[in-house]
Amino acid sequence: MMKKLNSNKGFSIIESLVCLVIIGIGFVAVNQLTAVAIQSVDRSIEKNKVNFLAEMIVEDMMGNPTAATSSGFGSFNENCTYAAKSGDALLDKQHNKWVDKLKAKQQIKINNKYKIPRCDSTKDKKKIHVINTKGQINSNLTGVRLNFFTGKGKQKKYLGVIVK
Amino acid sequence: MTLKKKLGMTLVEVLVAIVIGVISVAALFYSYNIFNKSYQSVVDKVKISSSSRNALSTILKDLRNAGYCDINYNGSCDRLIEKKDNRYAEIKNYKVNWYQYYRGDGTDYLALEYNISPTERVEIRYYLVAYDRNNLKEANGRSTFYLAREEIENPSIDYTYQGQNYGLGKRMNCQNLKRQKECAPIMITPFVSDFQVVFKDKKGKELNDVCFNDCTLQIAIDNQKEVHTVEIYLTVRSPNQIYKKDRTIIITNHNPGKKGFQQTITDRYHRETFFASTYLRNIVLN
Repeated sequence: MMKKLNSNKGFSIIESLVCLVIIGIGFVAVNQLTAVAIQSVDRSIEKNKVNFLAEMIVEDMMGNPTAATSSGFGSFNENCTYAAKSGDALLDKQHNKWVDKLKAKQQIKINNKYKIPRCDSTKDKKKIHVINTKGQINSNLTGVRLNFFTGKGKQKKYLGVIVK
Repeated sequence: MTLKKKLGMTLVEVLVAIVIGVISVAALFYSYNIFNKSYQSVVDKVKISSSSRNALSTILKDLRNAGYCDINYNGSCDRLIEKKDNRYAEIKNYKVNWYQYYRGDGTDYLALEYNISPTERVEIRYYLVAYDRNNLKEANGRSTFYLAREEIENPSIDYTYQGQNYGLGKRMNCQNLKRQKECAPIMITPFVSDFQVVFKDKKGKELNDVCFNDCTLQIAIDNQKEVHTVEIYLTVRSPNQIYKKDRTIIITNHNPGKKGFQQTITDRYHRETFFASTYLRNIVLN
């Protein structure tokens, strides 16, 4: 009885060091949380901007109702590799404007670099589709859907209905 | 006897325990600092996001109403919308104390009018105002500006109160309606670095300042009716410095080299540019 008590008394230094290492790993994990918090605020700011951009697209369509055809807004299906349209028509100018604004082109430069949203894979692009009421792309042109992807998130946003 | 031998700790053990304790306290302190800083930057970014969202929603609401003329209104509906580019905002009939606080080095001034009832027409003005009149340029974080919204009721009618005339229009949001001259415009967004307004006609072509000096001239009235779309750029700064190192920020809202205004700032603040655009249904239908 006496012997057993003696051998189990207190922690050894090795045990306490191992314990400390485990707690340390926990701390590192908690520190990572702060980075996650900042990232999600950045994402929320970007979504906030996209909300205004979605509003811009609806407003532009209301201002140009004759273009709600398959050759008009229906032809808009752009991604990262976008070439500006050269036409003088309002529709071409609106296309260029939407892509420029969705990419936040020429707004703010930090350390000589434009702050452009990442657009390097199919997951990171912001895309506009013209859809019908059933959600099918490029057919009856009664609604517009904006897909936007920020970081790992995936959001599909329905913009509203254009009545011709 | 064995019990006595194992009692207490040796000096070395105590020292090792103290060292381990100190290291863990240092780790705690270090993470407290990290938490504190990241909390600060999260709070600042949230402030940027919410204040600019509120401002843009208010501006968009005003722009959608811009130019609305009530069918029973007796006064003139000639003034619809106006902006001033790269120059000091000139407010007719009002050269008041806070006039000197306007930011006039390239940011824009937006004014618009609409009816809120058959007898009332309001004029809304947006511009940047400096917190400190001795620093009218934003350089290295020395001076700061806020976006002001000014609301004036019946801007073409003399405001008379208890027999005394106070000039054209009644300034709203005054603490005391008698003190029209000291009535400072209210702040809707703090810490704004840039405010740009772009007018476009129905062909997507950019328009110049539509009113020039007199909005009541026929050419100015015709010009104002050309405005089809309005685009707004708003660059907002964080209230506190959140970066460890200086960063060079070039704000190039709206086509650098054209009508826009480019400014270079080196400091540790975070900045975000928000963009909104709206269709002026009330002006286009005129």
